[in-house]
Amino acid sequence: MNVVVVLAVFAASGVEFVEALTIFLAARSVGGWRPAIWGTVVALVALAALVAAFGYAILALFPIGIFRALVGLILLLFGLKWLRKAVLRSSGRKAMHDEALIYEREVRELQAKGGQNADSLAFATAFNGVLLEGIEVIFIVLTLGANAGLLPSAILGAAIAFVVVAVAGIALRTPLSRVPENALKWIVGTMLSAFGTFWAGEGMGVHWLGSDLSIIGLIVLFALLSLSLRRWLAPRAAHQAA
Amino acid sequence: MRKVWEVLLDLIYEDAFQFLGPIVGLALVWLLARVTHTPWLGLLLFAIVGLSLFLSLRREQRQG
Repeated sequence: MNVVVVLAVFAASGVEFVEALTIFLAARSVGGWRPAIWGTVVALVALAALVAAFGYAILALFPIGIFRALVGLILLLFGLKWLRKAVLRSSGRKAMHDEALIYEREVRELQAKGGQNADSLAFATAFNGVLLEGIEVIFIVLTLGANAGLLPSAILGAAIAFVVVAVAGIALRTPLSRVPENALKWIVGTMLSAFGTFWAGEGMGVHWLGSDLSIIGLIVLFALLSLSLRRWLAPRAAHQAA
Repeated sequence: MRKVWEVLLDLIYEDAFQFLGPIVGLALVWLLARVTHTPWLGLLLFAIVGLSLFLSLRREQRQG
């Protein structure tokens, strides 16, 4: 069991599950529980079918070297996207992610489509939201868990995140706006960028100093880099806003 | 089909540094790894990725 991978997947998929929960609750507020739950269940079945059809086939088709480089590159691009967003938000250049606001906007948009059947609208909304966020979770689990022996750690991280968000959602029945999503995205962006750089580099023939331990060094380097970029960007954002 | 290309081009244009930087960095590291196995290659890769992120943010900042 790799604790770093469990934590990285827990945080990354937790963010996606919180977003899916917001869409699910918006769908429920328009069409009630039944169509929203059905939309979610059908989306989960579709996701399971996707994993069964493509997940292991992809792992089996590519030689591990090429696969590792490809996975590393995708992880790196994904991590950089999150890191960039987190730096822009924390420096004031981009509005902070707010689940309560997103929920209100989603409900308004759904109510504006009032002419349609509320049940089918709620079903389609829950289905789309869960499917899209779920694909991101699968992507994170498969890429981070792709290396031998890490898949159980990645699945465990995602499973814990699912249970935590589902239990909190059932108990509170409101969007989880108190989850520090921006901070989580920063941490996850740092971790994904570090794992991505390590694996992509290894796939390209880099011999890392200290082998797997250099992942920790990369996490520290990406954290320092993003903090420096935030410090560099924050005064400029304040100056432009004035 | 045209729309797919437009979306792809928009994506690359929007985040050109962030997308192309790591790819160029990996290609360079792959070439260098053919001739040397120095651990500094890893640091070079990190430096190129970091530079890509910096350039991408600077572009965003200049656009206001």
